[in-house]
Amino acid sequence: MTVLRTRGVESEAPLPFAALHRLLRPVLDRLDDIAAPQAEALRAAFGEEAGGAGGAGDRHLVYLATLNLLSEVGSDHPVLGIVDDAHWLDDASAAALLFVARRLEGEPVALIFAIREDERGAFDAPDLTTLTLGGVNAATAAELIADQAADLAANQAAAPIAASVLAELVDVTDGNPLGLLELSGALTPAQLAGEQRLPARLPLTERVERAFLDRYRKLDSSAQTVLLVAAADDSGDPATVARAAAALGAPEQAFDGAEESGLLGVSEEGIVLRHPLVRSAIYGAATSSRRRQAHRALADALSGTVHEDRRAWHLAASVDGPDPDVVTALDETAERASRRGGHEAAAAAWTRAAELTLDSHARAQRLLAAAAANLAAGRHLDTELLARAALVDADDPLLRADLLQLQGQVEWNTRSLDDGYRIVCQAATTAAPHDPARARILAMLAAALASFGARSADAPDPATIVEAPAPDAAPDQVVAGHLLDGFTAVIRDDWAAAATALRRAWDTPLPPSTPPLLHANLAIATMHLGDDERAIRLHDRQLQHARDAGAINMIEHALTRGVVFRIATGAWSEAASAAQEALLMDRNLGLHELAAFPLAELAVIAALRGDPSAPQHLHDLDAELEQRPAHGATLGLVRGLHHWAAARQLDVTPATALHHLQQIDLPVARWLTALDRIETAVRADRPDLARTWLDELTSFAEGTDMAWAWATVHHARAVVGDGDAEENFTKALEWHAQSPRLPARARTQLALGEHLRRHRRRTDARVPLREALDTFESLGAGFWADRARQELRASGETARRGANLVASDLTPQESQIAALVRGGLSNKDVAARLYISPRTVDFHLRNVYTKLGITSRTELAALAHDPT
Amino acid sequence: MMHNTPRTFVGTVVFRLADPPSAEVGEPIERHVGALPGVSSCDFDEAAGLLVVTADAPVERADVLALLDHLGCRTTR
Repeated sequence: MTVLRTRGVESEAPLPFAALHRLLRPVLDRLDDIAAPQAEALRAAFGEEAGGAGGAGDRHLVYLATLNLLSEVGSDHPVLGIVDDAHWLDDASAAALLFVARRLEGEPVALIFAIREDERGAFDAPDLTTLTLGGVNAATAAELIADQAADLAANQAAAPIAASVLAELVDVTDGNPLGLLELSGALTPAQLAGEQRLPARLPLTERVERAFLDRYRKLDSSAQTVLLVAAADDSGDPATVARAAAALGAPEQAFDGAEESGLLGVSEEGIVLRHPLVRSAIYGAATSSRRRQAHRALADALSGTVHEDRRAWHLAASVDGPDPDVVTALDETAERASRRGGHEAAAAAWTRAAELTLDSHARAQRLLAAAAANLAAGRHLDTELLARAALVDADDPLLRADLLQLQGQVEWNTRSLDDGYRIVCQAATTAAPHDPARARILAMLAAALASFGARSADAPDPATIVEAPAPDAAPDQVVAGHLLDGFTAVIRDDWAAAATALRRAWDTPLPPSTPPLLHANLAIATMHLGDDERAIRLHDRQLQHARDAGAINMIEHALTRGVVFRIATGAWSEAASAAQEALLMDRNLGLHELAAFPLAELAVIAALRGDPSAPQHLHDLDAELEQRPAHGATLGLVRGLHHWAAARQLDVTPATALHHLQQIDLPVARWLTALDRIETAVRADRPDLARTWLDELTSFAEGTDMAWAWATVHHARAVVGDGDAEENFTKALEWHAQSPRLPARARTQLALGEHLRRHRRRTDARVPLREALDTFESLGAGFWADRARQELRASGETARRGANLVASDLTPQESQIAALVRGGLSNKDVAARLYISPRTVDFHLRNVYTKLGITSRTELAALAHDPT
Repeated sequence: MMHNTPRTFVGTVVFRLADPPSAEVGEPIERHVGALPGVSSCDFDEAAGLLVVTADAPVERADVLALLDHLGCRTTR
């Protein structure tokens, strides 16, 4: 078995991945066995390589590298990773190790974390199996104490211990072996024998600390200096501690005294304090000026070494007020950490640098950098605290605009879309008089939020915040201007203006340097017109960039947005696969707040197909929304998809379905569901509603001239009995021929076939019915295919039997893996895509084979449909 | 860093209070923290459970935390 060890160190500076580095150091020679981008990310995280282009700055690649490295090492011998004092791990290491611990399925790898019960720390993992260690019993306690007494017999007479004292020691320490030894070691023979009273009761930690401190105080002052420096040090490097102690007047021999006390040992691993409580006891007993001296001496001892980050943190602890040199050192530390993907460490260093900066503008800039680093680390609350602190100081309007943008982003991501929108409007208004170009981008962002449902009585109309760009302005400004016009027209339901402006934005060529925010909004704008082909192209491009860069949030964003359009065009297998991938990613990476959107998409796909699993998908979505109510920028879409899926369950009455469909308010979702809404209103005997919704859709079609919209208008006219039905269906099919929305086309073909069959034109009916059946079968839409087949039979055609779909009871992870393997991906590629290890892929794949009764990838690839 | 590693600051630091105290407790918090040498202003935002402390001369973070502890308020990381 390979045993790897690390521990959290309380005094450790916020160095990203320091504890992880210690754990993996013995096996880093195996890094070449894992995928190159992951190996590169891990090397960059450990500071062995500059974080270059690509995904080196993405922490999830570091996590995945850790998992796969341990998995590789485990392929030789089982691996046991021991993480002591996990409550003191640096944040980045804790996050990486928890990520690994949660996905060790099928791996010959085990991780054990030891945590002190009374220590609150960053290590929060209630989901891991917990073993609470009880204490030893009185008999064992007596043995332990006797052993220690024998060890010390040379310099301390072994004293007999009274039963009552033993019982009390076991009681106050809960049988904690260290507590027993330290307390009994600190008692006088008379106290042990029960002849003198024991000291007053104290909590165990404090008692043990006091016992250590008693020993410390008996030492001469130079040995005490060595121990204080060792307590303030976090490197364990004897040379560093010796240099620092010497600078404080402790000669080399002082080490001997410190070692003889048993509080400190020097081994191959360097300087080791007897116990973490030695550190807290000695450090805590020193005055703050003594502590500062120790840190200053350590910083000086590290000067000129590679330990620049440690040095910066010691310097920061050594000053009693603002100091430009210390601030410079911390800035550099923050920048290094940021390049390595250590966002928490970068945030900590910039925060500390700000606290030591006298100039208020420079201070606010550092707080902005710290807040942005926290946002990159997904720490929304800390982002907000720092942005708020910075806003107290920041006078510069552009700096304030940046801070407000961050605050707004936290708000719309985690809480209220409306408040987030109001704050972004404020950012745009603040920037407008000073930098119209910056203000225009912010106003565009605000308008985009409003076009997805954000409203605020306190916010100005984004269109009025800044003037239109000059005709000769830079292309990104021209595009921002068009997008702003387009989004604000959407808010006014002015579809002609929206279509004109958005098309101008899409048609304007942009240089490669264009900021991602603009590209993201160009892509999202396609949703308003239902411009599916452009939407899929732009989101796929975004997805490719995001995958290349390993940018998790962007991958999730591009995947889930792309699904909406694939639902419309009927690329339902791809849509389900992408939604499933996004969902697994959200779950595997702990991004639970994003999970409702892909769940809603899966529920809609299952409902549209009339799949037997549709009620289960809807139930999963309901359960998710109960736990985490929909919020933020996807609120309107999630709500719309949720009601759509509920309305399209097979067993609902028209009245219930209508009740759901009436609650869809976001225009994007209204257009997606337009035909269902109008059909349901007619069936529920609400022709008035059907008419209103048809008028709404007609004005959209007139404004945008989108082929799918006109097709739907004509189909719906037939449904509400407006004019000749056959003529309407035929016109609808003419428009459908120009639209990529296959399911809508097949529904019109089915409706036309039904109409003709009812009018006894059975031969004419068969043509559209056959086309509809072909489409529904290729979409895997079982319910619709059955309907088309019934109609065909009624029209006198002996319908083919449907393709044999076999449900095989795969778990979502298994069916996702099966689909990706069928798509030609290797196990390694599947693993990288799903943030699991190749061995776990193999483990699931073997289950898939068993459940499907097959034995190879070739057989899996030869299946007619993706197994579910 | 240890929890008691020296950490002086100037400018504004926002503390998040666990179990945010009521408005009546807010006034003495503002008064006591505001009286620390170096602290130029101290505002308690009851709705958000935040204490906004601004210093124009160096203030030791531990002194603020000790004072809050004395007043029965815990801060969260």
